[in-house]
Amino acid sequence: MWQTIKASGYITNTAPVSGMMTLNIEKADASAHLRVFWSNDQTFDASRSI
Amino acid sequence: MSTNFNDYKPNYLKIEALGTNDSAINNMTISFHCANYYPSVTLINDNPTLGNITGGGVYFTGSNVTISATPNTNYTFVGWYDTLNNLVSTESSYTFAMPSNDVTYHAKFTTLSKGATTQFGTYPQSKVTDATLISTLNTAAGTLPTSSNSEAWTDYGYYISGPVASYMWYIDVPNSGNLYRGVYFTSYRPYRIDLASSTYDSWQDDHDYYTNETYWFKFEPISWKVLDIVGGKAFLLADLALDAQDFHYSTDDRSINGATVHANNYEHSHIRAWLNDTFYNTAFTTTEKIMIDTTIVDNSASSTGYDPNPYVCDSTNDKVFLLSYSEVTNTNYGFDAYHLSTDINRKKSPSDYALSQGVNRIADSNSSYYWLRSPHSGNYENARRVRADGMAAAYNIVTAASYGVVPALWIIL
Repeated sequence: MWQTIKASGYITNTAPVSGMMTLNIEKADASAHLRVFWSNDQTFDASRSI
Repeated sequence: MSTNFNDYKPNYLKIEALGTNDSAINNMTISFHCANYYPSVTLINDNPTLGNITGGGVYFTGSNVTISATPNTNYTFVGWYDTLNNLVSTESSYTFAMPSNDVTYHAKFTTLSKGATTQFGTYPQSKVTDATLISTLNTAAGTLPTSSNSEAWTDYGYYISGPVASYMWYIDVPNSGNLYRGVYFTSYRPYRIDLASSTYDSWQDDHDYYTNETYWFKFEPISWKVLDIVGGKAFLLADLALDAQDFHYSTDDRSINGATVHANNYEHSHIRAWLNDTFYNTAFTTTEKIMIDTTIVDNSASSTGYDPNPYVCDSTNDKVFLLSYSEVTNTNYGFDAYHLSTDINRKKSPSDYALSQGVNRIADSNSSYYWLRSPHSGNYENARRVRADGMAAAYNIVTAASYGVVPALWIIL
């Protein structure tokens, strides 16, 4: 187990990270429901998410 | 779950747990592009009240970048421009391969829209009727001109019976922040310049403009219809017939640079010279002149509606021009393609000032005939016209001075 995010909680980086190309997340089980957002300015919306 | 961020290059991630359960993650992997530098796209909205833009950010070199512009209602996206104000694209959704360097694009929107009306430049138009103001302007204008002494007035240089004659003058007088043009004439301007002066052969008196009276007209913004917006420019056509001019002041052939030039040659016509000198310098300020693009005006046979046409001339480079037959029957500009239709979009009413210059107004339609730049193919003396009823039909002799002038131009947005 790498990390558990509380319901309705989130994790994010607070300093910019350059060069990210791909992201892969392996859920622990089917009960994990996650949404990933990305941006360049710390504002997030559904247009850049999975 | 995995993503390549849709080729976007983010600096920030947010992973959110949805629903009511905690979400456990066994493993998370992020791969990185190991470059020394990640170029950026900076977008600047030059008209933020007129529309929105998206797509700025940091991208991998070589990746496809799409930047998008969305105009607000009734406004138009003009284009993307680089930092030197060079037009890059007029596509509202523009995709390009990300270069290795940073790029900055400006988005321009305009309040203009195709088919709408805008104002640009000024020209004497409405007749002054206020007696007090007329008296003030008359005093300011000073002594009235005569054929032997123009005083402070300027001779129009109009023709009667062929040769130029001094009988009609103007003077521009500022008053209380406005500009007015005085018009005074001692003979009637004939509707065809080879005719003698008489009320019978002039339209001036028919519209209540008489000899030896001074009339005043206020310089007002010129109203234009936007025929098209393309390539960062707008194609404008005056809403009114603003003046009355002959197409050319003689039907005689001329020899220019060893070549015979016929009377209906647009390149060497009086009306083209008038538009690009007298009208251009009267109607527009220095700032407005910079906005007017120099148009390569198509004078080919196909533009005249006759092919072949022995009287065509080369393309001309003009600031202001008349529409051609092909333009005034172009549906893309909002006109009916059928030249014999009484197209309301082709009909033009004359200004008060144009009436004072002798344009003929057809009372039933409150509109005038006006010149096109296209020569007729069957006779060297004739040029094409738009009739008062809106038909782009037939032609008239180039010396007709009772036809309206409806200028057209392209402005750089």
